[in-house]
Amino acid sequence: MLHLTNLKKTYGSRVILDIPNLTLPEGAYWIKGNNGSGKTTLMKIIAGINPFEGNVVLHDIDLIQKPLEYRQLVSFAEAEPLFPGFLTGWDLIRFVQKTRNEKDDAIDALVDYFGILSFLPYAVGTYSSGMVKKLSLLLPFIGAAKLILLDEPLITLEDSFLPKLFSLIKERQSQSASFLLSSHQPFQESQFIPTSKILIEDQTAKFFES
Amino acid sequence: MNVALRVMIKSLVTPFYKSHAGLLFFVFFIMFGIIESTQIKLYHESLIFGTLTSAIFLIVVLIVWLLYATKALHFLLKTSSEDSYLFLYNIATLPARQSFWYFFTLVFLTFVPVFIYTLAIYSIGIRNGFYNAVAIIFTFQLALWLMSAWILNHSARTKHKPSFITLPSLSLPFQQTLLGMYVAYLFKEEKPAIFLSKVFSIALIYFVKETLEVGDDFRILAITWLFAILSHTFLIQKIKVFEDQYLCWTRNLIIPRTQTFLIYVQLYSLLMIPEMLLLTGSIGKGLNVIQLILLPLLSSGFLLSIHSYLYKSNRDPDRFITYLFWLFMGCFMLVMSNLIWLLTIALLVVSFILIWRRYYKYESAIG
Repeated sequence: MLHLTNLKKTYGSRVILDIPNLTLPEGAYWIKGNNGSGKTTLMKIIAGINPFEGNVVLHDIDLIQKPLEYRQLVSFAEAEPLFPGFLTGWDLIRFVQKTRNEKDDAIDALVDYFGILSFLPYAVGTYSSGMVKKLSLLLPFIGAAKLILLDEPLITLEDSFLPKLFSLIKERQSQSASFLLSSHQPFQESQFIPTSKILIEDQTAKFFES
Repeated sequence: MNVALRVMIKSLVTPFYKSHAGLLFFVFFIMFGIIESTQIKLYHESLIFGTLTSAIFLIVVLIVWLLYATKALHFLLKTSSEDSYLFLYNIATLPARQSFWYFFTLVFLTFVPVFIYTLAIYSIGIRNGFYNAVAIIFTFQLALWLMSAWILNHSARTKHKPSFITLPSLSLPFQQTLLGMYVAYLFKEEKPAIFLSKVFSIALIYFVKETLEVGDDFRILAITWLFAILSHTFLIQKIKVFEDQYLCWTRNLIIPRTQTFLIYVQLYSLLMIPEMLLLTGSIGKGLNVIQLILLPLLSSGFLLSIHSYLYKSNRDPDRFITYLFWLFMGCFMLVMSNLIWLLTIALLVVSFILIWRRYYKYESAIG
């Protein structure tokens, strides 16, 4: 599904990531790593947000050579999302809906599922951090992305919402979507069992089991 | 220097100058760049004598300083209230008098370019016996600094209370598009900046327009238009910061670079609509209908040249000023050579190529 080849990310002379080769088959992956290890950077690279050296190929589509086709396949939710405070939740949802060509029914179902309808007419600047997080988690589920990246999806969310989030992940997995989730907190096995775990350490990525 | 004050200067004054480099360059150019070097001393002596001897002239100068001080105050208030600057509110734990003087220092530092010019006014005023005018100027500037420092200090100490001034907010129905987001940002978040740039550019175009006669050369208006655009350059830097901070996530969306470029063209053309409307009354005097349509495209090309430069990673603020200077000089020369169509097309084409090449390679230092 996802192939990273000779992927390198540097800031000046500092190497953040140097991944010679990594192939991820379809599935749901838990990305682990210490603070500053490069988890978010890796996710932003795969999402097409940050520049890099090397190759990122998803379902045989190269990110550099076919940037638009690639972006149709991947969506991303940031760990600490920042949206323009003057826009309403509806503004953001409708904007992403247009770019991802999603139907109104699907949007209504997602909004209902996330339980955020009541605050969508208000400006994002008035939201609590939990409300912003829920909104940001809804956005990557708009459209039919084949790879959904969720950076620290558990932070600032209320416990009662977590089973619903994992249930949605399972549902999308059954529709052949894959997931990359980064988290410092362990997942409860009753809620989510990753296909495999990936450790970001020493500027590279490797599979691990412990 | 005190560590707290040093941090405040680094957090607020340095970003102020970085953010307003374009505006300051514009004013500097108007004051020093358009006059022949042999005439500069005489020109400024005339300006200063005008300020010291004419009440109306003095009032105009004081209003301009008031606008500048308001702009600086707004920037300091807005920046210090951003989440990333919340640590500055530790300043409220200091004794009120001490924090007041810290804010006074910040305000004074933002006023340094004006103050340096004021020293020349004091020098000429005192040598020629214009004591009353000098006293008025000194009192006015001191009052501006004291009031600004008081407002900042008060704001830092009363964060828990609701604001007593709320600027009206426009509700825009089209902000579910990328263009709408930029327009909404400018009209909701940058009202004072828009106001300031419009005051400069509309006043400039109005004064030139009033002097035009039938048969005048289009180049007069085109040059004026270039100066008017220059007063909008600091808005481009604000737009880029807005993009880097709040629209980074849109790079993950399926938006072609051509569409992004066209959004910028529309945005920067829309920005100059008031000036364009002002000139509609001058059709037949210095410009025709086609030339009137050309002007917003020229603005788009010029402002996009700046925007595309800001897509350069690891850019140096000093080089940005140099780039701005040579961009303006190049445009000035081509307008003078009556190559305005060629200039407009060249600016748009080069900007398109640069944005196309840099868009996905760019990484914000903020994001």
